[in-house]
Amino acid sequence: MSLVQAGLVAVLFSVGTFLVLHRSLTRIILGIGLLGNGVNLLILTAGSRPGDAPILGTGSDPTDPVPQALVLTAIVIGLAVVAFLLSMAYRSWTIDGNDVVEDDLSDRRIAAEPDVAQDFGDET
Amino acid sequence: MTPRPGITPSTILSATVAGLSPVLGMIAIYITLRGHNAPGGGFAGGLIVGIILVLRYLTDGPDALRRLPVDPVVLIGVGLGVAVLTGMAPLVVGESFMESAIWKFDLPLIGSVKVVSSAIFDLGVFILVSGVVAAILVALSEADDEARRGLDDRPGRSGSQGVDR
Amino acid sequence: MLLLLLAYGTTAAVCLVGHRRLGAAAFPLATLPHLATLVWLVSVAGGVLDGTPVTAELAWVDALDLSITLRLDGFGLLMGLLVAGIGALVSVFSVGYFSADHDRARIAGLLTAFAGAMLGLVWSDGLLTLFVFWELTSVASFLLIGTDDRSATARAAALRALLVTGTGGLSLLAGLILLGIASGEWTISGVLAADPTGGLVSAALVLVLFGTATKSAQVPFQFWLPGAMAAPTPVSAYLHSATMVKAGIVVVARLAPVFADDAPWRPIIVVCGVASILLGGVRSLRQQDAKLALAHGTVSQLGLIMVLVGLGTPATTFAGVAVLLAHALFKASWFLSVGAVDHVTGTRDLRRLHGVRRLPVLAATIVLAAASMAAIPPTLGFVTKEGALEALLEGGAGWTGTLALVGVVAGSVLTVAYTIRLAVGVLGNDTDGSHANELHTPGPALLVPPALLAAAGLVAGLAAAPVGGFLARVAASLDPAAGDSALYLWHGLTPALGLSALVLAGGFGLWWISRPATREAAAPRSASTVAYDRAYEALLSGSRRITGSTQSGSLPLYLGIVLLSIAAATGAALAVDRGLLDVSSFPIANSPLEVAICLVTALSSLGVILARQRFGAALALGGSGYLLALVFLLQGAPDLAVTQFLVETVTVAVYVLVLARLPQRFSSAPAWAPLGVRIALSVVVGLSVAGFALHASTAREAPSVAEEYLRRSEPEAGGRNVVNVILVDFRGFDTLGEITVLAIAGAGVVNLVAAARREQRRKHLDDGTDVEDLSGRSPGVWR
Repeated sequence: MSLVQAGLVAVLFSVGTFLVLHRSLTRIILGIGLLGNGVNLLILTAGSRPGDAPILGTGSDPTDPVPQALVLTAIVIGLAVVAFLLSMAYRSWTIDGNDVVEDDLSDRRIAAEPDVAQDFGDET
Repeated sequence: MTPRPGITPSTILSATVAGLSPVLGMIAIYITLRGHNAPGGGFAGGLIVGIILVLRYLTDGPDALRRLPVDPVVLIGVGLGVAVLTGMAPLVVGESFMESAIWKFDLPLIGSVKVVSSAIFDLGVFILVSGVVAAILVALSEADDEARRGLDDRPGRSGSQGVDR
Repeated sequence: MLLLLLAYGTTAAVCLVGHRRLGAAAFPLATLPHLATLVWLVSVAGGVLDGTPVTAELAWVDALDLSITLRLDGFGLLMGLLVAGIGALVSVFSVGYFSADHDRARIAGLLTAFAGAMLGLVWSDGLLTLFVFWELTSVASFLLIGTDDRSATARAAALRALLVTGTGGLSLLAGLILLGIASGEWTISGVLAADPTGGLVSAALVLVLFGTATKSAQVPFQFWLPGAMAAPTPVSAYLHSATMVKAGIVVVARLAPVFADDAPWRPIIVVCGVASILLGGVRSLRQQDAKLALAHGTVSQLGLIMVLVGLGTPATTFAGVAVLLAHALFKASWFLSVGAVDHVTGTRDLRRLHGVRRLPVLAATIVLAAASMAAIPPTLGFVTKEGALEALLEGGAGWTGTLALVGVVAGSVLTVAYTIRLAVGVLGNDTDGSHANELHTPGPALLVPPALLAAAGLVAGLAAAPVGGFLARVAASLDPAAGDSALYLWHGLTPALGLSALVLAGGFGLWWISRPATREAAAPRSASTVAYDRAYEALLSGSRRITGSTQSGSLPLYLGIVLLSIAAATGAALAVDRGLLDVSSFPIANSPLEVAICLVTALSSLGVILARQRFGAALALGGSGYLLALVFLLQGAPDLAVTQFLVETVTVAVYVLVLARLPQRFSSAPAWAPLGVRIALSVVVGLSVAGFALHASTAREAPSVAEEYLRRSEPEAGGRNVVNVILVDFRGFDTLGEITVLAIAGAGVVNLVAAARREQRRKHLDDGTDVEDLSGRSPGVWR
């Protein structure tokens, strides 16, 4: 793995992390897309050295095909995940008209009054 | 048929894409089948089908995705079924799950043809990926469509109501 | 044996699944497995009693050496007869007891499931098998206590019983595992044969005894049992007097002959047991509800049996087994009778019951059961109590034996007193005439089972010698030295007989003296119930405090903390394990082209952040993805490059489709942390991942499987593209899983969008702006 490749991994992960930490659902999804790309690059470059394509009869120095097989399905699943998240964002938008990830209200309530028995199915 | 606002409809482009679609479809299947020996395979083939749909959507609008000959969800099921059955077929003859077989035929004119059972598995992958991508595109284009109706239905913009049917 | 358990499971499943249709047919159905078990047990009884146990084994998790190991010995035979025999009678009784208002099939199904689990428990030889069945009985008990799920009291009682016995079950598991480790054997018979010793064994025994004390309702865990009386009476009769509460005794009985001499064993058992005997007896005297009085009496009796089998001398083991049988007979009879009384009169309140004596069969049953419970000759209760006193007088267990003797005598006095009080309370009042018509004669289903049980107590008492012979052979399976014990109806003039007479007189006296005091007494809440309630409350409020102080509810904050922890943890682990990274050992780049492409890719990725509009961001992401395809190509992965390129195209289309209808600009929600902090966090995560990747790329210690795949690809799979061959052939199973994930994600998208569309349509309809019929517009099945 070359330093340039590692640098690209670092950039993809940094940017992805930065985006994921936003409150806007669409930014989070963009971030997950970048993180996915970063992971794929990481597995491929950390798992094999550069070489000829692992197609028999085409090169003298075939590279390791195993990381490639791993990443190939991951790429396609990444597409499905992004589509899934986007449709979730769309659903969220149809419900409350924005794509902001709100704080969990019940967590807030518990934090405010931890001693008040709430409806957790307590037996009384 | 009213195209998406902001995209100029072009009859020529639309006709070109419509004409190219079967060709691209053939290419997709070819990419799938040659995957065993060269870059390609069911995943890539299925994605090419997805790209055909994207092109159709760009030229003809959401209607293009609404008139698919096959329900994408059915494709997903068929693809998964083909893959599972190919995997289970060796069990019938007492081999282990997913064991592959190679058959060689000598056909007149074409010569020796080699068929590998895992190519059928790859075909299942192709059908499934086509179905998943198509289902996603159809669903989201309808979402898009619906959302636009929602916006257009607001007072003052009622002129376009229902026009894209 | 396994087939029988399967029959129980099947019957339970049939009852639970088909509970709407079965109705009244459920209880007759539920008697079938009991009858089958009885027939089988009788058919093998001869051989088993002669000392050749029946065993069965079913491999469960081979890799972990886990198997379901069953072993039917003499004791298992006795317990099996009790479980199946009383189970059959309870089922018959239930036919008359439950009306169509109850969910009869559910109760029948749960009772059957319980019976199966209980049989599994008493027949278990595997330590872990024992635990599994043990927990199954706890769960069945929980569900049955909570039968009346609209009553808060019943739910609370069910939960309490589950928490107490469940905690005990975990303790038992820990103890059994320690025993297994200490002895290297994972069956009860193996552990007993190995007879391990040492500190580990002592710890294990304390844990096991904790578990058995919770299950058999011993002080200080006795408080769940009276609460469990919220269950319907047949359930109480079966689980909470005759069988389930004996589970702890079963375990103690099996272990005692070998482990009773270990330091902690006898003091724990005898102190807890004697406390249970006395507390249960005193409490029983103060109950006005006949069923609750019986429940406290059960605590007392269980203490007695526990002390007897726990002392572990041959004589007491035999006496314990005998008392166990007697108790199961008279207590189940009592419970069923009280159930019948309740059914007939509509009350169990000792102050209000009257006229029961006009029902001759029921009255006779109660008198017989009371005689056995109070140990009046010539019932089995008397014969076995006599045997118990005899065994205790024989000594052999040091000071604990003496304490046990004193406790048992005092407890017996109490038992006589509360039995007389109960019997007088139930039978003592005649009708005052005006209510004579309230009583209807109960049907045979309500009368026969308790009468049979009570009659069995009498007959067995009269036939003390053969019953004693049977029980001696049963006890011999626990302790071979107990094999020549015997029961006598008439011992001659022995100290035991004197004690018995003393006890009867004392008990009668106590009843007479305590009558005024106990007539209207209200039972106080027991100290352990209060302690339990406090602990439970503290647990809940403590959880709320922890939740309140750690869960702010902000998703980005959680993510930030998680990511930072991962970066810090992996970074620290790598630094400790492999030292700081030597950057100079890596090539800067593999080719000049790589530098250029990686640079542009990085810039494009940064563009995703910088873009002010969603479209710009989506396009920047697409650009970054396309360029990444080139990086893949350079690495020698044309398949990946093709796939990445195609995926990126579709991804951009998908983004555009969705983003087109969301607001153009990103929403400006308040950030959870300053920009600087977020950037710093992101950079730290990125750098640590990159460092991890560099480490990983040099970490290979074994050659890759790639060589193998490259070699086998062409001859075995007939393909030259090894990546594809791995996907569809060598690792085809993985691919099958992955395309299943794809199918599920696709279905998820379709359904989410369909749900969102319904939402929108409803909004439109509410606004009155959309009256069109939107159905039938697409070929989707998801409408």
